Amino acid sequence: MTLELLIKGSSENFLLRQLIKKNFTSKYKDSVLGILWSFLKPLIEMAILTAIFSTIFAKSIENFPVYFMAGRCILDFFNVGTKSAMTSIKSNRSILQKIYVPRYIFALGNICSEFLNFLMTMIVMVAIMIATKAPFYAMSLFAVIPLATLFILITGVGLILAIVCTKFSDIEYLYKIFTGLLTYACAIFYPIDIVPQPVRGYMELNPIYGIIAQFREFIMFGRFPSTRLMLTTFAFSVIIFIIGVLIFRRYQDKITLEL
Amino acid sequence: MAKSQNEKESIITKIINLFRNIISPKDKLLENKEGVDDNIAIELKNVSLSFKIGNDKIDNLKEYVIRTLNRTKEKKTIFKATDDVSFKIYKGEKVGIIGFNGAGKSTLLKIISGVYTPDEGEVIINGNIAPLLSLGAGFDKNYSGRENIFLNGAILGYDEKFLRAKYDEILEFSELGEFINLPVKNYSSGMLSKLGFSIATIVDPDILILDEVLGVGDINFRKKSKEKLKSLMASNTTVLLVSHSIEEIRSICDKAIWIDKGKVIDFNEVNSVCDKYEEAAKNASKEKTKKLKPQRF
Repeated sequence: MTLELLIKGSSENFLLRQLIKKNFTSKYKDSVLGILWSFLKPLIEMAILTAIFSTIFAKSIENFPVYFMAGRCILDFFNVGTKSAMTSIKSNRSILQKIYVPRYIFALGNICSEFLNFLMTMIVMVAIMIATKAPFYAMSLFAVIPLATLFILITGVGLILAIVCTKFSDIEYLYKIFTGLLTYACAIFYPIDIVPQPVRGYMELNPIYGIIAQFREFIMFGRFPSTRLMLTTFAFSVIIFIIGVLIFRRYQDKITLEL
Repeated sequence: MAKSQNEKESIITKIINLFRNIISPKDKLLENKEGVDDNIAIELKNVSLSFKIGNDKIDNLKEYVIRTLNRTKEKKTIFKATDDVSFKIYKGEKVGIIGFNGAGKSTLLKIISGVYTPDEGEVIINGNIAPLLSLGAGFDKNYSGRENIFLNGAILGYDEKFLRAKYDEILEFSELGEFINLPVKNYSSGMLSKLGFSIATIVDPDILILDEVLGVGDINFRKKSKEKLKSLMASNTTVLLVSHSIEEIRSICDKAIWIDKGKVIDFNEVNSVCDKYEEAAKNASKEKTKKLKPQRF
């Protein structure tokens, strides 16, 4: 009787749901502002940067608050998502050393709960769009394409980092430096036009910048970005994803010995 | 609206299932291979597992790079925790595992329950396993007892329907009553282990794996938990038990495996193995006490 109930697929999906719920609730358990904090933090950042930069870039950026929020939210999801996936295996060592649980599930669970956080910051962005009387387009719905690409990219990077981080603990600090640099390399608070040409060409190869640029095109102007940009970004993300899956598959059974 | 929601969910579930099949293709917990003798519950074929141990483990990239450049990387010692182990355990057999400290008993249990994957060899498991190796793994201290039942249950591999059906039974067995709605950070350690025990033993497993017979909680609960374990070990369940108490092994098991330095020394009827083991233990301790004798100056 109980055997039939312990079907693998459904029990693993149940575990995934439980882990997402746990991550989500534990994140807000200790803060006074609770869930409000997720709305407040991007708002404050936006207010400061708008105050500083919006007049300088007034010519090239029509709606600075929305421009900034779109970039900032996506980059933040990338940073937090990959970072939480990176530590997922290490921080659950007490479970992994005692019970067989599929290893990928902790990484995926962390990324999914960060995705929920990201969706909440999207609410803030829509609110800002309404407040600044930005136009809405039906085409904006296609923004799910860059978001799906982003999810694939984050999963790939997260899986690689999860394995590497169990082997080398200082990867955490190195990655922190990397994400710090990424903030400046993704054209979050400045227009890409101000970057001189040879450098700009390299910047556009950055898949996270590619995703942000696509997302802005869809949301702010309701039009399709260039096919070249979409294809290169997607191809790059899929390649990283495949590498991540291959590395994870190769080493997932060995890492429990190293924990 | 509700229907489209359902459809959407099934698409997401499909994607997740696809992802799962790609990333962890082995179906470890319910391994039912064809062509295997149906009467076998656990079969190990030439299973070996070694750990790399060194005096100073390189666990960061900086050191790794520097040591590689300087060529001062220490050669790692390889420690064979399990060395070419093969045995068959048939359905319904109660098997005890004995051996001195560090002989590789727990490693063997972890290999069988899937925590460690062996370097070489094959592990075949026929039936569902309940490894009672740790109680309350993954408890979240901010969660109430009730929420932790679902979280811990999910980690142990139960599904939602099963947990909902068994929830009352778990609560009743744990004797927590009203406390179930409080965060577990307010629980005493006894209450925590009672809850963990109740969740872990709610299944009706084909194969039960135990590292020492667990008695948890106060006197009353200790008695109750031992009885629960006894009922789990009833007739058809295959039992694998690690214990340092030879008496317990003799009373519960009908076969025993003696392991030393990762190798199977003997696998036979319980009393004959235990007699040999005790004989060896006596000799070993005699030698040790000889060394310990105070020397007169």
